[in-house]
Amino acid sequence: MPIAYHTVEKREFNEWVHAHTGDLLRYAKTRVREEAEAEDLVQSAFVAAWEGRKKYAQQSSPRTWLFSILKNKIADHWRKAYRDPVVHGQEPVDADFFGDNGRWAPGHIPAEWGLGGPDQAEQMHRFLADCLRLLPSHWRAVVEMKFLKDKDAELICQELGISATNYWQQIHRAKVRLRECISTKITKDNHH
Amino acid sequence: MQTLMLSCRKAAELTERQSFAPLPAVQGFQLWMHTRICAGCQAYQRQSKRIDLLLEQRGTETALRPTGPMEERIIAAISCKN
Ligand SMILES: [Zn+2]
Repeated sequence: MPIAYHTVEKREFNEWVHAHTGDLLRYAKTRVREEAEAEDLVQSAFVAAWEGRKKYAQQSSPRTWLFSILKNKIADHWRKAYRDPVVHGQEPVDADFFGDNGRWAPGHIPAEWGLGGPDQAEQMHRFLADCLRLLPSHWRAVVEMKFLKDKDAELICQELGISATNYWQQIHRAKVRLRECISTKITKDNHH
Repeated sequence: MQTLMLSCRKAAELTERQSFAPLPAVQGFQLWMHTRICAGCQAYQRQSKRIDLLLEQRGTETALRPTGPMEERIIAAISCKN
């Protein structure tokens, strides 16, 4: 009897693999640097789900459950990247976005984005992806954690091992840089 | 008055904090005051929100590619485990 029970369970699990791998991979690929890393994370999420399948107990849909496991795996990935001293070694000098008086420095003052056109969303996603790639790893980690941990700042600080003050400083710097990068791309694009 | 005046640097930081949770009343008021008179920070606030939205939506907008070989790999990886 136990054998039969296991066969059924595995067959059902394999159906989950077929049904959700595509969506999970697509999600992961936009949230880590390398496609190969995304594939590894999705696979390890499925392995973790299989090994912890007794905890599933149908309290949520398989999809929701698999996504929550994947999000934890991606968060682990960024936590490690953040704590990697090699990555920290390349800490960029904070570009002079602000003057000594704390105002936006000339040339860095945010201006409205002249956006329009039906392909706007797709274009914005492309700009964002390009700019995320340009962001140093530990800054990207700080940004990714915001969404992987559902904006729970206390939990994020705990995971990264930093103070709240430190976190606010880092995420706002990362965000200022990300915004300016996207702005530059929009401006360039408008001139074409 | 001095304490009411935020720098743009601080305003950008508070904008970020506010996207996690509501700010304490005094800081919330300071930020509101600042963005009322500072066009740069107004644009920053709007765009920061837009970026957050894009960050949250990632991975739902692109077309799905077939993942057959990967599914087989995952199933193979699981088959070795009980
Ligand atoms: Zn300002």
